[in-house]
Amino acid sequence: MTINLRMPSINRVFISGNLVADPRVNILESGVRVANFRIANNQSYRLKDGSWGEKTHMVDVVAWRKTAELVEQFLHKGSPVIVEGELQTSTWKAQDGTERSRVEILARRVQFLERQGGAQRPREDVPQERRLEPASEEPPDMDGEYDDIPF
Amino acid sequence: MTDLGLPMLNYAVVSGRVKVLHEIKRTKYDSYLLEFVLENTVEVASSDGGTVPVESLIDVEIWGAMAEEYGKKLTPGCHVIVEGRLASVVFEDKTRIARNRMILRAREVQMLDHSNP
Repeated sequence: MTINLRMPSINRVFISGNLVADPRVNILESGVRVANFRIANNQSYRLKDGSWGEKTHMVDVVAWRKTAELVEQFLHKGSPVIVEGELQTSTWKAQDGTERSRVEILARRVQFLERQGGAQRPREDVPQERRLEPASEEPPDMDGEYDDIPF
Repeated sequence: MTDLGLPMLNYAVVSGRVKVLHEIKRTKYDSYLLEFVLENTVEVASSDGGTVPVESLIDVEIWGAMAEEYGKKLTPGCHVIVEGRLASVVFEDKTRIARNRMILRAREVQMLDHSNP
């Protein structure tokens, strides 16, 4: 029996890592806050000789509004996090006029995993429903600055 | 109190249409590599109370035996669900600056079109 179904719309990411630098936060003309940060995700894999190797992957994340506020307040270089979100393509015009794009994670929820001795810190922010965000400026250029990972 | 380590978590699942399908390649390590661009569309709430479709283009890599298998099955326009891990690859741009590009490295691919089991 043939069943004709609608195309499912699925886009979900779960990723953990440490921030490679302090998050960059901008406030747009509309007053909306946007935070950009990059996390280093370590993956282990088995080598041909049976031993384990490790590779680090850099993943760009963008957070908006309340999530961006909490990211700015509580995250810094080295902070361990789990990000839940979805993949999106961000496009912008570079200073030389060329159109550029990159794939990043639009964070819906960020879990802050660092233990704090005294200061109160939320364990995670409130999950955000996705909405159409205002056009952002050119996102910060995060390549070439984080060659040395200090952790 | 137990000290916990950072969980190693990296999982992505995305549905979409194959927008661009590249020729299958054999790498210098004698492994097959199939690359394609996945077009994902989600409906996002807009300020007027309705929704608008937002498209994203995601680079997908399939390696090994799975690449051989899907190299024969996939065609542009196919509807698929891809599960896998995010990875970053370094490349040089036109100004020779090293840049990072994020890709989805597939662990499983499901084809949703009836004509392709």
